[in-house]
Amino acid sequence: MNMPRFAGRAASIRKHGRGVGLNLVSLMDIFTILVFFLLVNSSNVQQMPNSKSVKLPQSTSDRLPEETLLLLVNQEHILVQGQPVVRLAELEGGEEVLIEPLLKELQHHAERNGLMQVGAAPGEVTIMGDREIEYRLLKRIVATCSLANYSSVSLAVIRKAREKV
Amino acid sequence: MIQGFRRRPKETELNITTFMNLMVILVPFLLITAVFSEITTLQLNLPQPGAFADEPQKPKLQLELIIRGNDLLINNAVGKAIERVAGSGGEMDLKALSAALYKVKLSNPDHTEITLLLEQNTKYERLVALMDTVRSKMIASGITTEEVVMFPDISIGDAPDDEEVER
Repeated sequence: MNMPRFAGRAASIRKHGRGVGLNLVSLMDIFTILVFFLLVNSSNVQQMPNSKSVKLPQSTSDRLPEETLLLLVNQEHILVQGQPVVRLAELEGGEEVLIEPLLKELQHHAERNGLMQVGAAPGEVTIMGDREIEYRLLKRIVATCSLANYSSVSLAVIRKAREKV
Repeated sequence: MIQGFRRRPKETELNITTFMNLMVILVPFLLITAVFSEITTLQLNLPQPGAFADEPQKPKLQLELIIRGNDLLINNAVGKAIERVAGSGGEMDLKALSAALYKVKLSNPDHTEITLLLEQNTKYERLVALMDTVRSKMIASGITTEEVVMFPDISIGDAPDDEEVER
């Protein structure tokens, strides 16, 4: 059964001088298409930390994020520019609206960016908050930002397609 | 000479090895760096200190949206309550809210501000969903749908404790 095939192959090798080459045409097609697709896709990459600990809420907004101070709020910590500042467990039950350690950290950043001078334009801050956090916490964070002259607040969200009507 | 010329035509093939090498490196690299979930932002309006002091006159409409559990109340802070949108099945009725706000927008086309008044335990996700609904509305016109901007200047605040506004 197999004999003729082997014989044919052997003959082919003898004739062409080497084995039959892999047919790579379709693989090449896929790769070429894939490379162009990915190149186009990655042309507008934003440098946003892709943190696994935060599940951002979804929104239909199409405003692109800007380079701003980044405040990340997950279920356990508040992080400013990737540095953990406060544990959320420490904040529970607190009566005052302001978050002292966060305020200190923000003022430190504001000073470096020249936002503490009189008449300085308000600083921009982007809050990446977990979708499960409560308004109670968000309010305190926003109030603290506002006091440190970071009063242009953006909320980071994941873009989703808009429902029809 | 002639012999060599005769033997060759079938043998010529593009040497794609280097191209393949490039592709094999490039494809995984781009796959890893590709961002499939795009991050966008929502702008939040914070009251500037002293912003209320130099307002020329009292506006006739100061739109508020009070969130109480799943019930929503569209309210005019300097007038009467406009409409109540009751939630159904443990969810807010965002479609009804959108329709009600669109009516308000039609009668006040220049108004762009709204304040969301939230309860302390309102989830962030819910706030974002509300901001989306309030911001704009998709209107079907023929086969296409167009986006109508409603109230994009959104502020947030605490919901009043009692039922006084809801008379």
